[in-house]
Amino acid sequence: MTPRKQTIKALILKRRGFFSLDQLVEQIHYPRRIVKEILTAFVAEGLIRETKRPGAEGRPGIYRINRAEEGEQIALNRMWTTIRYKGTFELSDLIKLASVKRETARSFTKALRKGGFITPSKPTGRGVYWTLIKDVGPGRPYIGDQIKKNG
Amino acid sequence: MRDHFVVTKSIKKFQDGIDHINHKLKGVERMLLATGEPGLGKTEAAIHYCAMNGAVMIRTLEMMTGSWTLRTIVSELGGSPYYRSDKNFELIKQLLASKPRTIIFDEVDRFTRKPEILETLRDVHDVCHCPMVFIGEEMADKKLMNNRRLYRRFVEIVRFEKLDIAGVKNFLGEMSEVKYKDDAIDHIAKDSNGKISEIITMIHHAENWAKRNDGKPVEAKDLK
Repeated sequence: MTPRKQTIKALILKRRGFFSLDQLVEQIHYPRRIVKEILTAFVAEGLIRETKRPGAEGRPGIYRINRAEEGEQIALNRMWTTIRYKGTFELSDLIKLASVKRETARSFTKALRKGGFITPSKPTGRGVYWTLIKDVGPGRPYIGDQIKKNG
Repeated sequence: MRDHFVVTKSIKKFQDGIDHINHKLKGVERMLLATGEPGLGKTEAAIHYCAMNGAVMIRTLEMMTGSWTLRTIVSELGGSPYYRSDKNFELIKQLLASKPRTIIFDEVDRFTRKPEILETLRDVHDVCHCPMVFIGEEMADKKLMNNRRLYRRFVEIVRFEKLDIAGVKNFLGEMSEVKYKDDAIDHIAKDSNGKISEIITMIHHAENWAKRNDGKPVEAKDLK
């Protein structure tokens, strides 16, 4: 792997969500043609996937890292599935059934509570169990900015 | 107690069974039936499988009708259900064609008195060729046997068994943070009757006792 390819790979792996060719070029200051070639190679290797707008064939699309394998679920989806199917749950249910760390489960329940999706059986203390009060379906609700907003 | 999902022999059989019906051959039945007494971890095993593999689970309800079941399947597959059942059936076909998933029906023995729902599920299985798992109580296989056309589609019947002494020992080793003497393991196996829910309650007792007694290994007399 060439040094340029290595640098771009390291940069991509740090990113979250979608990114475009222009964003990468702006960030790394390599020639656009070279960055495009490297991204095409990464798509072929399966490291990233490219999504194109309908009617924009021939132009570069937007890219995303292929993090999860087919069928494999990311931790947040695993926890949301567990919460929906359990209905009433404890933190330990999430840790066991969704195979996540205690901190991840705690942070997710905190965000869901702030978003008004779940409610605790008592305000604080040990042995709290949670009840799903707003089921928005199999797609996990977006709660990304709940923690930032509410502290 | 450790927060850890213990894969018992029955759960291993259940997971292997789902792997078997997830093959890609055409014209081969893809239904699995899992039965067992309450408290043996059938639903937990199903939820764990769904969470880890993106499968879909439907908790059957006593009041469910054929059209209600179709609407629930559409919702669980991520679609917006129509009012009409024919449109919902088409939508299920499309949703499963775009993203094939295993559908798990829990407490399916509720449907044994509703042949129209069982026939609808058989139709979904035959048309969409999607793997289906039916979970029911210990007599579910006997009850479903009345519906011959559905019953012959079960590739495998997995029976959730009570844990034997070796199983209890393994479960305690993986779940509990205290040590147990052999007589305590025998006592737990006998008193819990091999049921996971009962064993968990006894682990809580044992761990509380060990905490009060500086982490000494638990004996049978300490659990009485």
